[in-house]
Amino acid sequence: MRQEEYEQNVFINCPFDDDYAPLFESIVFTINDAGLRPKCARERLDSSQVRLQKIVELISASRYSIHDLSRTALDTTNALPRFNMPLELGIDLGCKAFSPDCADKSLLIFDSEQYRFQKFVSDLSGQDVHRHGNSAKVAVTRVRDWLRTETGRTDIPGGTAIYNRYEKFRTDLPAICSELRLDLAQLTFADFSYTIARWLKTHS
Amino acid sequence: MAKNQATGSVHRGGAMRENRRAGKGVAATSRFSDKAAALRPKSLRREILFPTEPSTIGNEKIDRAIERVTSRRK
Repeated sequence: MRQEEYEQNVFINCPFDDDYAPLFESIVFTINDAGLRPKCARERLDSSQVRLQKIVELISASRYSIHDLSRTALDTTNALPRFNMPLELGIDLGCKAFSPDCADKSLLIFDSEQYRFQKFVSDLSGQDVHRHGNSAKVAVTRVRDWLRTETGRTDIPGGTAIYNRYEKFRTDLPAICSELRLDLAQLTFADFSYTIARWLKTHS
Repeated sequence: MAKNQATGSVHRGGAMRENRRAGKGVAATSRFSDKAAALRPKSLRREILFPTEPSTIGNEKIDRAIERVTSRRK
């Protein structure tokens, strides 16, 4: 069972701020529409667990991972960079390198500009790093193409088809939240992911 | 369709060439893909998966909300 879930899980390492929300939601939707299961640190609500331990568990339970370094920038308050995303990418690369069970892991790395990452994590030089340009449509296509190649599945819909469905889902989402008497921001990650999966089942 | 005059058997390669000339090559490929999809193990076919983490709202409530929104649009 663990092996089956490992093959289906896609870990998302990205910022959780409001500015990033459209990209995050489109990526979660794409993973669901590709027939895989999105996982992220937000899904665990157990406060007794140390945050980093939760992340390590999610990384080791996911064959596929998306790491977005595009928000690694100096914070205006303390002039220091946010380094959680590169740290989690490092943990994932270590997991792939040192765990024989996870040697087949596949990673998709995003940054805001093509070679920007070489200025702050030059050891990543030689890795393929992709750009989404803060566009949900580009992110959907990049994630879809990567999953199509790495999973070997031929039945994953095209990027445009997924994005068109995502737009329809986004149109329905406020009404669904209103039916549930919830603000969109109040949906937990598990509920958001379940809503996408159920909506996709209903609209396939 | 190409036919071996000596044995009377139909030559499939010839038939495919003829189909391509007649612009029917794509149909032959699609039939092959459909067959391949049917033979593919179920676990490799795209299936929408649900989260393994528990819902805080209740899955039935979400199902009903989606149903209501969808039927209202129709």
